Amino acid sequence: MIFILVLLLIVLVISGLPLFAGILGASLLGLYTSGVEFTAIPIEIVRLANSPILLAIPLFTFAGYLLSHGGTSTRLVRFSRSLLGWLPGGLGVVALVTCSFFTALTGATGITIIALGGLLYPALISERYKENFALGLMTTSGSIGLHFPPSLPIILYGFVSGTSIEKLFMAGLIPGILIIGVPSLYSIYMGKKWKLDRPRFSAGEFLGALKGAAWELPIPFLILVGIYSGLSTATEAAALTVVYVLFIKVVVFKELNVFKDLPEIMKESMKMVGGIMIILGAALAFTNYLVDAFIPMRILEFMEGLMDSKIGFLILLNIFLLLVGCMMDIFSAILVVVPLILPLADRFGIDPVHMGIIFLTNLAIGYNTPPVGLNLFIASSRFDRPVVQLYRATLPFLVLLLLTLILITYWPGLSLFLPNLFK
Amino acid sequence: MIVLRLVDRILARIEGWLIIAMLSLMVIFTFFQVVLRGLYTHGHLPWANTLMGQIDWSEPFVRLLVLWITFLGASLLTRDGKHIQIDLFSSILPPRWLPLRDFILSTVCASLCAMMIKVCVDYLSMEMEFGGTMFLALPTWTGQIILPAGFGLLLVHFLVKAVDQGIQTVRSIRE
Repeated sequence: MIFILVLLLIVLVISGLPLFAGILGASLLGLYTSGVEFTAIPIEIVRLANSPILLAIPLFTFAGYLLSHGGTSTRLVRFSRSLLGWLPGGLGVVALVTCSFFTALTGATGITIIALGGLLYPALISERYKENFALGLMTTSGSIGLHFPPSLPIILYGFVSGTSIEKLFMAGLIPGILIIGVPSLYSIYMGKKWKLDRPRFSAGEFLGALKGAAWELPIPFLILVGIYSGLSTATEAAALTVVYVLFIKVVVFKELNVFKDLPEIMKESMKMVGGIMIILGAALAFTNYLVDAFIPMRILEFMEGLMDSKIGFLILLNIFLLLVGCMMDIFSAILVVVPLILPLADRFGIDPVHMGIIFLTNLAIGYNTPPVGLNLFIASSRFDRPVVQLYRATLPFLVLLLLTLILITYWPGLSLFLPNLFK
Repeated sequence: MIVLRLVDRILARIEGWLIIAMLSLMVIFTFFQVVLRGLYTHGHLPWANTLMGQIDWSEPFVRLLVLWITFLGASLLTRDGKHIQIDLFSSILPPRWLPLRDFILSTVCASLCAMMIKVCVDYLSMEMEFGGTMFLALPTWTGQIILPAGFGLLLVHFLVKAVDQGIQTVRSIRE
């Protein structure tokens, strides 16, 4: 009977049952079989109100949504164009840099592709970049930048795994730069090959663009400085960011009307927060059941019998996480998978901070992986192209990112150098 | 049916207002906490510390708002049908099957929410009896009332969806 119900639940989840409901169902079934009171579930959900760090999630999300309205994206693109546009393939580099800036602030929720795609894609085409190159670039850009503060997935990983968020932010910097850097080099190479026009660097335009973007550019750096100077916690930094962004949007640029635009943006952003956090609540309950039923330990024993080398584990992990990343969105993947994997990683001597970076990189790439990677569908609807064309268009970028992933996974120093420096 | 839709709309309105109010409070209180703490530790102003002591309830209050906003936001999201989900079949299944699938999924969600209401009510009655107090000497269950209420809101929205999709299913079969 239980077996049939479990099977039924799995079928429902695969066919599109909202994940929070699926996880709640799984917890109910699990608790029922192990004879524990169902009230164990609300006890865990209530924990959403117990952690100061979770407060950072609605605040940063709100700030990100505020930034995605109005002219911020235009100003940022203008600035990075004036700074990097003169490179061969410069506009491609510009797209990667601005998109990652935006993704760090808004999370890999597709906002980047939607907010910046309309601006950058036509620009790329008009500068005679090949259509498939432009499409592939814009699609992969949707999940690049997750490694930079104040990325929400990092905060969530830190919360779920009990790892220091400050350390994780530090650890993400070098891998993050690598993930932008490798596709950028590709764009430069293609720009040279196609002999694209290269506008000259103009000091006047640069200064003008700098002035235009002067309010928004410092935001990530202010957050970093605030956190690492000990001036504020991540949560306090989030509150300061919201107030700062409100100030520039409402007072400086007068782009947002407090009464007309703000309520809508608040609702939209909190819908997204609700969608993520209710899964978090359900996942807390489910994890609690798993741990009580010794499931992670059993997986550990099983895996230990299967293999005994760290490399073997990492290879398997990469494949597994890519699959997960292409099926699930990044938030639920972290919530569901991290508690299961962490004891394994610990057993094989992998630093939880490094583990977090491996996780993020895998999941970010999974977003672009055919057949069901989320970015492919967002880009397909945004640029009005068939998904199959996007499979082809993203392929070169996918290969490059996979190479970067290998580097990040098997060279822990890349992730651990900075956090160890600041210890 | 008309009544159900009306309830659905009115609830969504209220959820929207609550979200706006709570998020505003969240921003305002957290911001003031940072500023006061900064004034005290870096500006060495004793009155900032006194003021901080006056609003020491605001920190747990704001954390509680996270829980409330979670349920209210998720509830509004239900109306849009945009919950996070794995969706392998939308592109594979023939389109005329989709209403039936959606009807089944919404019904399952509604039933799970109904079960959760029962579980949370049990939990709350336990809290009423044995639970302690939180900030401002309020009993803890007052803050946790959002659990059954939140699942209740989700239930209503999923029910309305299920009914809508049920009607669509019947229609698509007739055609």
